[in-house]
Amino acid sequence: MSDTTNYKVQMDACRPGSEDLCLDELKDAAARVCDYASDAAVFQRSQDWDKTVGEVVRNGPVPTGLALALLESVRANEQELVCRDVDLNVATRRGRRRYVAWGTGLLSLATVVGLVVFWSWQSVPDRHLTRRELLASVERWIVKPGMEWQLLTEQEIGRFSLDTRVNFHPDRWQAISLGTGNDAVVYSDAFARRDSLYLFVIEVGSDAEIDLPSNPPRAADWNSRGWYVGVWKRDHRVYALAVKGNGARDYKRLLRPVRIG
Amino acid sequence: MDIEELIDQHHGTLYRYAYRLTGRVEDAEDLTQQVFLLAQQKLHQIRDASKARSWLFAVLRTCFLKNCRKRVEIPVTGMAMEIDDIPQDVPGGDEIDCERLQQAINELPETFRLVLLMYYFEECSYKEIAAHLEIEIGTVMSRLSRAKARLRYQLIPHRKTVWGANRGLMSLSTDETTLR
Repeated sequence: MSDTTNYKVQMDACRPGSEDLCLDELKDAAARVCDYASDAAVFQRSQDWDKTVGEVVRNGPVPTGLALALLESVRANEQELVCRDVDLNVATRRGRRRYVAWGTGLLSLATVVGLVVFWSWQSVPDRHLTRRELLASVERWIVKPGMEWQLLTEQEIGRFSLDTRVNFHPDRWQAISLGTGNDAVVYSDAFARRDSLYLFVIEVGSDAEIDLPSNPPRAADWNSRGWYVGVWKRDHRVYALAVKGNGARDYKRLLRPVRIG
Repeated sequence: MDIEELIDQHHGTLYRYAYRLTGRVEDAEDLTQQVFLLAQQKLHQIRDASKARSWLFAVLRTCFLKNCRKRVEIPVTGMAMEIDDIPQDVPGGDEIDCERLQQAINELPETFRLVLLMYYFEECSYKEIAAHLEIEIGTVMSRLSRAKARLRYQLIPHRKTVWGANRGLMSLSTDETTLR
């Protein structure tokens, strides 16, 4: 924009009867008005014209009855708003009642589901631990034994008590997961060669239905990769004796003789 | 302040402003009604009664622009009279043809029309216009100057002059220029 155009545009921005010409953005116009009488005259004519146009623009006929029509429309709108509020309140109350009903229902459902889950969790050992599963879990552990051994304490041996019918002298133990949800530990024998003799003790609950003998079997149930394993159940625990060595003979040597009579 | 009071005090001014903006009686009435219905819902926003008028104007502008957005803005072509071509004997108010005035306003693109009426009707400064419409001061000045030049051309008896292609006005030409 050229200087000439600029000061004219600035003059046009001045409101009639205002002090706008003193503003910073209009300094070019102010300078022209101050320095040139012709520009001062142009500015004055422009201001007069703008004053006249402004007055005409701000005036004009207003339709008769407009105020009344507007009042009626706002009153009608007010009633509509009130009705909508009432509807909304009713809807909100209904909504709240619905939420309460839903909430109660959901809470009840959650409680039932929780109880079922809890019951299921509680019954997992009884329902899910099978002989095959037990042997598979033991095998998995033997193939890849855990290394978190801890020295044995009276407390631990009290919780997962040994079966006196087995000639086993534990010195270390570790808690293990068989993937069945049962609490279990494995003991390592103090006199056997390292990682060659283990006794697994698994909590199963007294009424667990697992098809296992109540005494340590005289012959190993399972052998694989040089390991012989015999499993049995006593009270609420399942035992698995695993020995690596010279076959069935080493396994049998670990069993105390059964007293007769 | 309640809505009835607002209507009583401001309906005339608001209608006139609406008429200047829309150029049609029916549209002006609709726009005025729209403003008061909105005002009814947002009455709590008016804390200072002395500012009610400017608040209503702002609502009116918003409604007007909202309505405008639904339409396609048609470029308006027309002639213009620059500020230094205003004759010595400027017409008085009673010499201005009101219909022609409104026609001239109607022919302006809506964005120019709004700036022009904020200047003439609301008597806003260019800074206030820029602030309300959130546009640059330079844009306001440019639009205002062009819109006023067009209005002058339509309302003041003159020799034919038009905006040149690149600068100012050119005398005795029938060329037209587009206001954008």
